[in-house]
Amino acid sequence: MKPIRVLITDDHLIVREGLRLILETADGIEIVGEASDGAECLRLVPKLKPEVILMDLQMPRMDGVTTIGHLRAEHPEIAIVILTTFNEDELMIRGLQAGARGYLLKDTSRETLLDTIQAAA
Amino acid sequence: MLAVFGALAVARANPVPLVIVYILLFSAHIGLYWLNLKHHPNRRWVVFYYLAQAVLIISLAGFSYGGDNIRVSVVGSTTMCLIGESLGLWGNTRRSLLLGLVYAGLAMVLLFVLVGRNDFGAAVSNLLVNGVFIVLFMVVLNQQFTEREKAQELAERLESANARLAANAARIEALTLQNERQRMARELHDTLAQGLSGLVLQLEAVKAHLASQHTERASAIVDQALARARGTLAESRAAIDDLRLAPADLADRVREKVDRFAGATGIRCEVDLAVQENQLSAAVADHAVSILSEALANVARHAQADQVKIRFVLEREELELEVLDNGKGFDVNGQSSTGHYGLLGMRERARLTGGLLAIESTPQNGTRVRFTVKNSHGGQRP
Repeated sequence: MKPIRVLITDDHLIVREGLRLILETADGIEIVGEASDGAECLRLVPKLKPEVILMDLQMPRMDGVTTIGHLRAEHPEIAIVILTTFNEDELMIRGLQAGARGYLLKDTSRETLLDTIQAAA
Repeated sequence: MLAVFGALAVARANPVPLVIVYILLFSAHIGLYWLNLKHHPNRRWVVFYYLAQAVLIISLAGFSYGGDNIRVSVVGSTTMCLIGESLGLWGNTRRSLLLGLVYAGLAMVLLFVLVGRNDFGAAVSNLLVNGVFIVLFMVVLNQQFTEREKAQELAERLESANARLAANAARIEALTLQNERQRMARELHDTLAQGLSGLVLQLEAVKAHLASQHTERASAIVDQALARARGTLAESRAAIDDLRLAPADLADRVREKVDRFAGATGIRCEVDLAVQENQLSAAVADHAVSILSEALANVARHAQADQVKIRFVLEREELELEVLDNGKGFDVNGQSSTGHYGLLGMRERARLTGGLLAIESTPQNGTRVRFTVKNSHGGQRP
């Protein structure tokens, strides 16, 4: 079975590393790249062709909600899953309204993370 | 008017209450003066007032009580009073000219009726001589009244402006506090929350590897997680130190702010820095660094500049902080009080230190933010 191509977009290295380490333990998921802000994510998408993007919301230069809006318009086939911390409810709702398919808390369990990615893909 | 003429008819028929009616008419005349002091800005009242006074003057002139001499004096003094009053209240205007002509005409007609053609010239001369003083008196009296009224209005407006200023100051203070809380929230979000989230994810990965008997990989991730945990702890400590506003080397703090700004924006910075640790009171130093941060943030957000000159110098017990950019500038006077909390925040900080903040900018010619404060001012803590 073809692995799900995942792109991680978060401005915090420690979060990107943690996600990568978890996703590496799963069969059927391929991490195609990492972006540290929305603008970098938009640059990488045409080249890396991800199927799922894990998207942080608060990022410098271009935030997650804006990036989701661009992705919805230009790459509607890509599933976007929001990564959120405990204090971003309003942003998360805006992200879902902009077209994200689901959301995950950043301190989520491995099983939930993998299930959510597979469901979104 | 009917009532007045009715009263006159009754008075003529019944001599006993004559003096009472006369006093009533005169009281009405004087009472109207008093009411006019309050109501003269009302246009409808003005029309009513001058018509009513004309009717009263005619009524008093028509009164047989006191003889012709008294009636001539009453006509002369009342009409001159009204001319003086209108000049005092309305000044050199078309309205007072019109009223003066109307009442002078009324006086002439009534005098002619009262004294006849033969004595008319003498009566007019007499009126002119005595009337001048009455007019002058009334002009001065009413001018004083209008001046007092203006002063009172000005005092009320000043009081209202003071109340608004006090309310605005309280609002700015609240906004400044709110900004501080937001800054704390951002710091916590960027350090502790993200760091712990990352560590949780890494531990999840360790758990998965241990479950799969990949102990070597699990051990490597634990080492990595330890390093990250230490890094997060250091970042959190720095953030907490920053939030505590603990005394630190001021020059280092300024350099760090400028370096971080230059690194994040790519804007070229020239720094003139001449200040040493403990030369400034902690509160003044904290406010000055915050003003520098806000000024640089404004450059990053709005200025579209490619060069910034920063001067942070303490000389002869006076701190001079200047941030000058070559960006697109803005209309300082056009900024609304509600739209630019950054500028308000800087002004509030300057106020708390007892210093001066000047923001000079013109569209397309850059912006200069200059903050000066005497080190002797202790300043209030943010």
